[in-house]
Amino acid sequence: MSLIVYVRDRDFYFLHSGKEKVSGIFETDQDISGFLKENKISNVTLVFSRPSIFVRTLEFPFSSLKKISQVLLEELAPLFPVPADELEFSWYVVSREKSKTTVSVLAIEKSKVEKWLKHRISHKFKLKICFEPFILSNYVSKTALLNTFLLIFVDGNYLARYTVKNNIIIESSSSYFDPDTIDSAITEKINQNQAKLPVICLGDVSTGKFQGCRTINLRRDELSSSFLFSVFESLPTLSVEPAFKLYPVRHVEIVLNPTIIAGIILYLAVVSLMFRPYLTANQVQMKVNEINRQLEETFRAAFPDVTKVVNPVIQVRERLRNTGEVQKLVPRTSVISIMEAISTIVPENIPFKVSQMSVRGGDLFLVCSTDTLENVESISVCFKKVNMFDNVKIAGIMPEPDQVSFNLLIKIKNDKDQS
Amino acid sequence: MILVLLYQFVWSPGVRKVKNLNKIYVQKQKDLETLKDLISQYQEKTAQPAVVFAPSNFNLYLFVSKAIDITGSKLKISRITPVTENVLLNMIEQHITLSIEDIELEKLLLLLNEIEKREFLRYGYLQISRNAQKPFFVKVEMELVSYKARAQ
Repeated sequence: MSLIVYVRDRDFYFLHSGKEKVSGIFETDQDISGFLKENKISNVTLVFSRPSIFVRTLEFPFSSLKKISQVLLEELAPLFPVPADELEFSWYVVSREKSKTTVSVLAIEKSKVEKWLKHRISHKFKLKICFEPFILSNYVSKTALLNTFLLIFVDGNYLARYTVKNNIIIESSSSYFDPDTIDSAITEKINQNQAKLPVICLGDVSTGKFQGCRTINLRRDELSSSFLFSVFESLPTLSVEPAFKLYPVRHVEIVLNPTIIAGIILYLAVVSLMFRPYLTANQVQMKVNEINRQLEETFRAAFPDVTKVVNPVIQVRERLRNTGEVQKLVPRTSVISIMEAISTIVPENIPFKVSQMSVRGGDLFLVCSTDTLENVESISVCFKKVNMFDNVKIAGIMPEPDQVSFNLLIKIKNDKDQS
Repeated sequence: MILVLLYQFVWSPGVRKVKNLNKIYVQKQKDLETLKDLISQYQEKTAQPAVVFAPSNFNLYLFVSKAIDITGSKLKISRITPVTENVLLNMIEQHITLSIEDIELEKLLLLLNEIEKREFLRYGYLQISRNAQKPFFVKVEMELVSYKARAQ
């Protein structure tokens, strides 16, 4: 079953499937779930009447539609009695010039749509949302073969007026009247035709009742709750879409998708990992700079006279090469002390004679003689006891008939060693 | 694709850079150690030893002459040989060799005492040989070394 719901001061419905047709009105507090379930609704067409739509016309001093779509929401916010985030917007171009673009914005309250969206999920039907002005405009274009006209639509006490130029609705208004005053209201609307457009009357209007008006001969079904359903019935192939392009106005909503966020975090983690070597390189570079500084400071501390430091190691090597060998000084030795020591260390009971004494640097060489080999050893022991001598060695013992000649090699301790 | 490009053009060059920098760092550390070692070598080479220098007006030949006179051993001198000066980093090293024949031990001690009284004089070498025929005489060969401050 297909259901058409006409949202106006009340929700009119028209249920049809082949020959079976039912029309009625949903009560404000009526739970329609049972109705939808009972009638096995497969298609719902939600038609918003002119009073249930907020219509605003805006002018922009440029022609870029992209730019208009970017600024539109911001421009619209203060124009409606309902907060903009509670409205669903659509807009279309009324006229477009190089430096001036006029657009018409239609807004419907989201709450009116959300109810049906919930039902769609529960009852799994196809939902189509459309607007009364476009339906009526399309109907007149098809039946009266006009694309520019002034349309008066009368449905009971409801009166709507649409100005259509080149199939684009450029102006619209609607109101409710008492049955007694509606004729005068229609006459007034017909007379408000300064552009002298062809006037088309549609709805609960008798043919020829109003002058200057062409009435489309369409009769309301007696059982129908609204004349609009007669329009649908008379022309089943009637398009509910406008003859021009209708643009949506998108609210900028940040939808946090955990998978995308996780993906982004993972991606950023991998990317930051890729750049990690550069952070490490900076740290190592700082260490290299620090050690370079240490090299230069060490060099400058040692060679304050140097003005330009290029390579400290090479510069020091060069200096060392130019300095030459370490200067070695002849050690200071007291020969008198040596002679004194030699003359006193050997006991008087041991025959001991020095025939030659040589001193060169720290080396002392003695050519000595005694009577026995045993005394040679004794003499060497005596020399070893002397504090100023070190490393006493006997060399070249030569036994002779009346004596034993021998050489002593001795290291002389310098002043530092002795202390 | 982006990750492949990042790996090729960001990660790989970055890793190479870090490796090179680490090598440079290790090399620089070695350089610092080498530098400290070379500086200590240089300082050791150029260190001023605690040397007592001869007075600026000191003359080694004159000293030898006077010392011989004092000890009365002029006639015993067989040879005096001057040796070329050595110019060191901050000083001048002067050498002279003496050969003395048959000098009494007492006079030799006087001569040695004259030498050893002066801290700037040192023995390059000294050889004292007893005369087998004359037990109270010795033959002496010595090299005397004096250090004078080098004029800067």
